Amino acid sequence: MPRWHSVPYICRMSVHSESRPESVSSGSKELPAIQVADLAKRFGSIDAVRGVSFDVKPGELFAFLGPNGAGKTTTINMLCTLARPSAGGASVAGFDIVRQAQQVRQRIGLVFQNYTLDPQLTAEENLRFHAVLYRVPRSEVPARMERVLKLVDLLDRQNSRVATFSGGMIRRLEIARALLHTPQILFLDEPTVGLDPQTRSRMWHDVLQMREEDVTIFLTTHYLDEAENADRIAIMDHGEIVACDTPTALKAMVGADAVDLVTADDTVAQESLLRCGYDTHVTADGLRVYVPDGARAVSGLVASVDVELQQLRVHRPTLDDVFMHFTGREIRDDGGGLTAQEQQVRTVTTSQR
Amino acid sequence: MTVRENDGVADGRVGHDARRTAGFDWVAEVRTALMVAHRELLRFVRAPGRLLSSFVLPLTFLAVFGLGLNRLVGSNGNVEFVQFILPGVVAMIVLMSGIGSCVLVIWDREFGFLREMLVAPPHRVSLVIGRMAGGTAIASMQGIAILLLTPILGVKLELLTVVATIAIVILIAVAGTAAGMFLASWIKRMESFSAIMPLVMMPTMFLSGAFFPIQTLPGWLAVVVHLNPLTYGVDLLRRVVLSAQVSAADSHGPFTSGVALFGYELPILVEVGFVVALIVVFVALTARRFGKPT
Ligand SMILES: Nc1ncnc2c1ncn2[C@@H]1O[C@H](COP(=O)(O)OP(=O)(O)OP(=O)(O)O)[C@@H](O)[C@H]1O
Ligand SMILES: [Mg+2]
Repeated sequence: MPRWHSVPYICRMSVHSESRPESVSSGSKELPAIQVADLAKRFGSIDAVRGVSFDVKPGELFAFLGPNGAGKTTTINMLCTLARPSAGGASVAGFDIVRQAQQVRQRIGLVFQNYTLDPQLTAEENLRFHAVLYRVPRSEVPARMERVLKLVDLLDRQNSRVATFSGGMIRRLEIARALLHTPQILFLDEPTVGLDPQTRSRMWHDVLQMREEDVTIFLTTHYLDEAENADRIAIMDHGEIVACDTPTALKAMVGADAVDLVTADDTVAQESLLRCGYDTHVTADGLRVYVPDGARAVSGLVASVDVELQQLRVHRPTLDDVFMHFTGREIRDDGGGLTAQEQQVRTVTTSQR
Repeated sequence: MTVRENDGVADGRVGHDARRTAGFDWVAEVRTALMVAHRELLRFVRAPGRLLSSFVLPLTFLAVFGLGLNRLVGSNGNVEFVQFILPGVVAMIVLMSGIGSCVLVIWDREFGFLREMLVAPPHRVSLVIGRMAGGTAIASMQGIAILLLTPILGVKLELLTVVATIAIVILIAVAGTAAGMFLASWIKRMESFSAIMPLVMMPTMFLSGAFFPIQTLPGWLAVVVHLNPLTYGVDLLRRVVLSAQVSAADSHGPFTSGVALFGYELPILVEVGFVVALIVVFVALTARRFGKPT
């Protein structure tokens, strides 16, 4: 996974998020920008969203992190009044998403997961169309168009048809369009999918720039490194929020350190580690153990593994670990992990050896 | 959950558009409709294929049926066969163009632009009206362009006839576009559209009296033709276009106009009423279907 090129922004952001609580509480009447209670959506027999609840504070950058089919887009569609909830409710900018849909629509900006520009129109015509639909005062349209086009660096292409744009340019134009009517809340559904690393970092630059303008941002992503930029992350899996907190707090939940191990026989090694009470998970490359203090735990770990140890690496937990921690637990709950019988069989094999 | 009213906290520049426009805003709705129509026109002029086909098709019909069969079928003293089918061809092309305007709706659904419109604040009826206005404008212009041929084909026209003709062309265009919107509210995918289009268009065109007089048809065919809304559109247009040419004496010749129901010849205004009623039904059904979120 490519890392962000715009490291300075990330740094600035984390400083930003620490200074934020004071500025937020200084507002006299602070309504949550988004307030969600037991929101659920069912498509026939599929429970796409199973009763999620969360609040997003004004000015916050809130990320929904989850695998394909987790229900992220479905949640956004409900919050944006494009889909009616099967149960529960939500308010966006203080308005009910079902009964006051029109007020909600006026206050949100939206970048859909799929492209929604008219390719036969020019960038400028697409923006004009949007400006009229969102009731931007006519006298302000030229200035605002220039501002948003400048923000996403497309000013020189404003008279080209969107059909001639690259994927990244289309995405940036969509973001510019979503900002044209100065929304209070901006929804971004996987804004960086299909973009190259440069364009992704450029887009994040844009997103973080918007935060400077006090826009509340709700975004969904598959990418852990993107979620890292958020003030708070909700991890969604199978239509449920399995964890919701700041990136730092989420990482703290996992444990202080992660130890990656590669052994001659990972299955056997996992068995013995589990028997010794270590929080052990299987990764693509080997095993991962979460321990309170990596340096001290190493000797104990080495002693517990009864097969040949080929590699050992201690690192601070990343969101990757957080994700595994939470969705891993979910998978065990679903019965996807080792069953008691399997464990028995493995124990037998181990003792025979 | 409890939902608190937005008390309009002064939040700087963000959201000031929102506060400005509480309640129903007629001006904004009309501007929306005009913008949607404007886009429809932009898309039309940027698709040279559509422009070309809207001329080639009617001219082919006129050449094949009109000039080709004219010798064979002959004239009615005052009205020649090619003159007889000219209003039919115009009505047909206007209807086709109107119904065809639903392509853009289906296209928008498939390529996502529909969501950009549906999530915007304006009322969905404004969007439907805008699309209909755009579709109507395009369809009427196509019909009127073909009508420019009338002098060449020797049809006598008076100023009043020209005005009435344009009015009726627009009426047919509105009806066609309304039918197109209705279809678009049901057809979700491009493939289904290409399958359904000929199925709808062919019988409507050929069983409408556009190409033959309907007074002399066998019973079952007459029933079908009288159930076809286009029959009334074609007849309206024909009555008006040929009004200067047809005298009472011709009314029993081979190329007569007028539709009779149960032996009763319908006045022009009743025919107009039929078409208007049809438009109202289609628009109501379309607005109902587009108005619902999933
Ligand atoms: N219109 C629909 N009809 C039926 N099922 C749907 C519909 N929309 C979504 N679903 C189902 O709901 C579930 C959640 O889908 P959703 O699009 O919200 O996931 P997502 O988290 O956005 O995934 P991705 O990361 O792939 O975009 C999926 O199982 C999907 O198949
Ligand atoms: Mg999605």
